[in-house]
Amino acid sequence: MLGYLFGTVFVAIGIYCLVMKRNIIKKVMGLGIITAGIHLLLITMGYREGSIPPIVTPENILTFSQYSVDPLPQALVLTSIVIDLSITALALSMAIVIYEKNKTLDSKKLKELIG
Amino acid sequence: MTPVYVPLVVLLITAFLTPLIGIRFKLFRRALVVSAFFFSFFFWISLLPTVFSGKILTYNMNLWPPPFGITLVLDSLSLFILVVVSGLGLAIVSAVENFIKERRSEFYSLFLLMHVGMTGILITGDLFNLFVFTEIMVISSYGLAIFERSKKALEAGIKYLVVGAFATSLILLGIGLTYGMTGTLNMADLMSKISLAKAFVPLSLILAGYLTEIGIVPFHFWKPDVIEGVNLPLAAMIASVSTTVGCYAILRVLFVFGFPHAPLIALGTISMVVGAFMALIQSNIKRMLAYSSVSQMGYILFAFGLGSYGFLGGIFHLLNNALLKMVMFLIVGSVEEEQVNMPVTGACFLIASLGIAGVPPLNGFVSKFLIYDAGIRSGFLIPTVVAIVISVITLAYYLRAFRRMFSNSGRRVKEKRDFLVPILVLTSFCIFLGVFSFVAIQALRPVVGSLLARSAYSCAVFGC
Repeated sequence: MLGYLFGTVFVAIGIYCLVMKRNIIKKVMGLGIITAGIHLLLITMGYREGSIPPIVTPENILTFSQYSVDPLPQALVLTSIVIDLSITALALSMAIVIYEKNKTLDSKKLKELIG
Repeated sequence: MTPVYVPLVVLLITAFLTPLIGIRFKLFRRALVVSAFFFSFFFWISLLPTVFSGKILTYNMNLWPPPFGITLVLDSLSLFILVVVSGLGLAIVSAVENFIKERRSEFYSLFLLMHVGMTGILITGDLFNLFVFTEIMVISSYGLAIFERSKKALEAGIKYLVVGAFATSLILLGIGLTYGMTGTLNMADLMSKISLAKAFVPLSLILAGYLTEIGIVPFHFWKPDVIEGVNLPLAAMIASVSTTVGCYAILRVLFVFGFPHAPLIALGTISMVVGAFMALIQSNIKRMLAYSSVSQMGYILFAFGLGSYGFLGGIFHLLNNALLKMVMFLIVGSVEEEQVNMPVTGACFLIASLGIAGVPPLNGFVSKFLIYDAGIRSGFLIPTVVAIVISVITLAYYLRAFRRMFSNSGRRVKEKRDFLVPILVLTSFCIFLGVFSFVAIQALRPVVGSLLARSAYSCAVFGC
């Protein structure tokens, strides 16, 4: 239950950070916090109290499905972590070039596109 | 078991091969990219007779049976959009070299990766796989957005990235909740396990994500900024091709979950009105086209909200919007100043404007007429009247743009052949679709049929 609570709180903090902060780096951090919250929610969804990791061995093959956590959300989260990593890397490299061109990271001061 | 993944693999290999070959053989590089697009275009064309006769092709990745493995499903709807997407990709690739003067290998590589994402979205039968391919598509577009490192492009790029990443994380959350409720991600399996009333929260999260990607009011705020800021091939891709693919994703998700009529009609009508009025006050042609795209997406969403009546009009309008927006952007790319005298390009712009506004006998008229007809027949009179009024406003802002761009007394500019070929091909295709609309409607029947045949879809995946 604690996982759901923290996941929701993380998503809320991330959205706050994304909307209210003006610095681009902080916005990117907000995106990261949102994704972390969603990952926590997904992992909690597949978790069972007192269960074993989803690794099949010759000894536990018969009782595996009763005692293991759900492996699918973990696979999904692994994929999503990789995607999140690439988005963060791209966003930060964009932030570097934006700073070189504009000498600022304040998103309110980027005013080329208005109308 | 047809290997429907072949074009995907070909595009992916070409994407990574192009920069390698581009180091040495500059001429060979373009031929390679164009031939990869030709291959995928003709591969899909060759499957048309089989699939449009009602057969649904499936392929289980690594031969894992569904619902455990990832299933690729190709039905009439996805094949139809695939043909449109690969054809329009071919049209852009033939004109790309005029816009991108340096680092072309990287551009081609990202462009092909974007197409890999789109192809994946269109052939997948698994909800999480849909998300992964959406990410491949949008991350490559972020890369393309900041391709030229101007201030405008960078601002557009970071805006696109932040909004897009937030939208895709909403999609991920929705998909996660769906899995939590049903324990499956296979679309055919989900169909029997989920209903509209039960899945309200996950469905609205997924829809909010995809509506942001296609730019429906109130999620449209990024679209004009991004389309104004980025380079022209990507602007054309976002306004015509990515939007079509996003619309397909919405259709596919709703096909699984069930169509909520009232919200789609409401959002569609608001989008039409806001998009058209915002387009009317723009002074930049790219921004105007972006708002026009918002407005046309409103028509399409409205048509899908009408349920089985509106599918034909909606899908036909989706095709028309993709074709005409592509023509518009290619023309905008070839016209570099105001008040030029370019008879052929100008005529094509006029035809495309009349087509998008819905003047007979062009293709936009037929699709809009089908939408109005569906609206009246299903009893939504007020949104239908709004749609008719908005199409007059559409004509007004396109004609204003036409008068600003072209003039008989203006400077005579030589028309560029690289642009003229795709422009003329697409424009004549639009005229063909309008004049011989009965052929087009007959060809679209199987596509509409596949949207209604939920049981045939799960039969094809699981066997019956």
